[in-house]
Amino acid sequence: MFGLLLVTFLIARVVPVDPVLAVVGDRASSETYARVRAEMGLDRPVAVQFGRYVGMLATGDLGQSALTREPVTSDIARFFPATLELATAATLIGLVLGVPAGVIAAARHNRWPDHALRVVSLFGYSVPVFWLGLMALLLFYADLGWAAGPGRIDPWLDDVVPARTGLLLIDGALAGNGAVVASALRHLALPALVLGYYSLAYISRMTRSLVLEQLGQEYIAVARAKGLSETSVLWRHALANVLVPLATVVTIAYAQLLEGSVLTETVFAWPGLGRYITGSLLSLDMNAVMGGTVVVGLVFIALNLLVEGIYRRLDPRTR
Amino acid sequence: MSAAAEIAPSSDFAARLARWRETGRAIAANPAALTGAAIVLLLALMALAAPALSPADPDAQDLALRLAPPGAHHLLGTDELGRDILSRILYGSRVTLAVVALIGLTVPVAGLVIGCLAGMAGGFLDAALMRAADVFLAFPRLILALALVAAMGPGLFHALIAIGLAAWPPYARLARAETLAIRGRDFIAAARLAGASPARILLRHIAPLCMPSLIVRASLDMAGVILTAAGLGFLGLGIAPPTAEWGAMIAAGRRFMLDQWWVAAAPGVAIAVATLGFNLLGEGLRDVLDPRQR
Amino acid sequence: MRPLLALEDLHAGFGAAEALHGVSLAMGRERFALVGGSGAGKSLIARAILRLPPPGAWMHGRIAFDGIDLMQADMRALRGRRIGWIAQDARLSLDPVMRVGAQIEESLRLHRGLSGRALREAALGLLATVRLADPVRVYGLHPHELSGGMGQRAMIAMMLAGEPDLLIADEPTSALDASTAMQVLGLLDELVARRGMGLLFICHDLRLVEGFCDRVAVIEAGRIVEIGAAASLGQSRHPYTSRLLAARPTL
Repeated sequence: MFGLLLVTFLIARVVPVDPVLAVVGDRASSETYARVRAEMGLDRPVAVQFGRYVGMLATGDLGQSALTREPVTSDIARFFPATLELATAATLIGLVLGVPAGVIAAARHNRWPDHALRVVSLFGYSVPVFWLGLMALLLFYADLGWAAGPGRIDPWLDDVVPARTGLLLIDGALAGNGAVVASALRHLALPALVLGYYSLAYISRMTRSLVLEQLGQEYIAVARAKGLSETSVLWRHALANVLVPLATVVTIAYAQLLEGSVLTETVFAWPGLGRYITGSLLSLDMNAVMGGTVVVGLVFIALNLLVEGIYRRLDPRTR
Repeated sequence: MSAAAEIAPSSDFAARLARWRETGRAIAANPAALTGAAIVLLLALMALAAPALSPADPDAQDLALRLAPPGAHHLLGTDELGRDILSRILYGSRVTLAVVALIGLTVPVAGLVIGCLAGMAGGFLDAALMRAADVFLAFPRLILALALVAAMGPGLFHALIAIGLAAWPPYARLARAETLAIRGRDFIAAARLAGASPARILLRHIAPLCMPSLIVRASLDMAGVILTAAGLGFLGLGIAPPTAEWGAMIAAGRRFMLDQWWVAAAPGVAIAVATLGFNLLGEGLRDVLDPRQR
Repeated sequence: MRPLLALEDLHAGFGAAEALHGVSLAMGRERFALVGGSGAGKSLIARAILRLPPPGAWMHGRIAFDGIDLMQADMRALRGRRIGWIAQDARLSLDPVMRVGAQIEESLRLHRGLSGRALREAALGLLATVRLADPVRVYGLHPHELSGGMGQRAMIAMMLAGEPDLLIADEPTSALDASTAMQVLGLLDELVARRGMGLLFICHDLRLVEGFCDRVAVIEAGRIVEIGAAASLGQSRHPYTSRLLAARPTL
């Protein structure tokens, strides 16, 4: 964790472009420049700056965005739920479709469902996500008109319901506003499906390996010897035994999606954290970039810890 | 296994040759590996022979013919500045190949060395190196690359450093694991007693053991590297224009998606095929060299 | 009287390699032992009878169970219901994430159509039949929490649920210490006698079956080399049998 902070900080401070200039503009007087520089704490030695930053972090303060002049924390709080919504929806799609696909591929090992899955997941590992998003937009939005356009919700429905969780689907449901929920769903569908394809590729591949590994075990042969149907053996026994490793797989898939969201959000104009980071990067809003990166890193670490924790707690053999 | 009589190899070298030949045969028999290798070779050919293969100069603009659909003169159409897309794709493969070659040849080796070092040295150095590996592993690859490229400015070189920094930990981990596993073995002790330096031990004993996993890993990794590089290009953080780069081409074509979709479509297919090649190669190699992992 | 189980010229193997070279034997409702060293092909025979070959294995030949041709039959109707199988280690042969009681109930539900309270009571009843001291406790345990002897008893209980006519026991005592092994053998003895089952007892220890089984078949490298009454084993002149007899560890 500490290392992560250090790296992020050093990166931001190495920026060759002067962030103060970015704020005051190049017409400002030298007094203004000096004042803003002091304000931003850039006149102190680097080590002190880092110390101050860590201190600020400890209190949950991520500094002020040079661009919006808002605390970075509140900016992030505004955008993070959108990314969360997208990543969760995509992971759910990957889970609901991917696990059964993997199980079936394992059961029909080396026959056509297995090969079909292999092809599907290979493409999921090869096609760039931003390109697939673009093509999907072209086909389903421009040509077929099935999906809604860019953005998270129809503009006239934005900010209509109170943002209690920041997750439009939930907020809309809580406020009982069907139009909001419907519009949000229509906008969520395409990006979630595109991202979901990637999580499906990964989850189904892993499920397949895990189930295949189980099917070679002796207890499966014994279960068959008991006279159980192949369906029973597969879904009640093999699948039950891979649930724990699967939980870790899903968590990793979720983490991967958070990373992929950076690109997808750009393509779909989805107002999430990824878009915030890239936007801030291009405007050289360093506090924002650092803040965003730190949050993403934190989530990543949290997810990794969760993975380890799940494994230890849920496997009855290690209880 | 054939029942043919096996003549005992006459020397260490002959034995190794025989093993390589067998592995080579196994690889050739694996359809995934073959297809993948074919695609990769094709990519290399494209990149090296781009000047000869391109119908036009990739940077030559013809504003009168901008955004022309695929046709006789321009097989894949032209982009927003009238440049021939096919030529730009061919030249774009040079960038991709450069990235793959540079990363693929340096990062695994660097990781190998670091991992062996950590494994052999133990103690504080080991802990420090592994902590560093954890930090870089904890960072989502693309985001780290983003941050680094932003800090150092766009450009192919910086993008490479960024990707490289994010990519080395798995190799180090692999090498370290192997090192730890064989560190205590008798033949290492014997080598030490015979006066072999650590570098020699690394080269002759540890590296060969790591090779299969390393090669599989590297091949699959290259697929991800291509995607990350394309992603950076898409965001405008890769190589500077007007050099043809597949990711940047997609970004440029994005504006004309609705009517002139081919501008963005073609580079995407190129990326997908190149990545597919490395994925297939990696999977095929994994089946042959490391069958435990399915 | 037709035999309970008859194998005729059974061949089986993996890929190009043949592991069973024309095995033939017949048994009735008796205690029949199949003895051989490791790799002789004993477990493969068990799998072949149940038509559950290990991955990559092939087999052909005639297997008749109570007159039914097992190569053509619908095995699902027979497995568990008429033929039971006990393996070596309960911790590997039982579903690791499912409680013992639930696994027994699974068989009961399938073969006897029980449900609800009757199901639970039948399961506990079976656990008591196999002489477990605390059936209720074992009912709620997971396989890895069982000792070797408890595990074997649990497996026997599970396989008795369908009330099979033939029980195949594949090295059931090999992983147990001597005294526990004796207890499990005694349990098997009693159950088989009481229910009139046939028992195909597979193991590598000839001394063990001398006193326990009625007839013995000795298998070496995929071939049956001798079949005879257990009592006359000691007089056997066959070199392999003599070797097996001589290999027994002295108590």
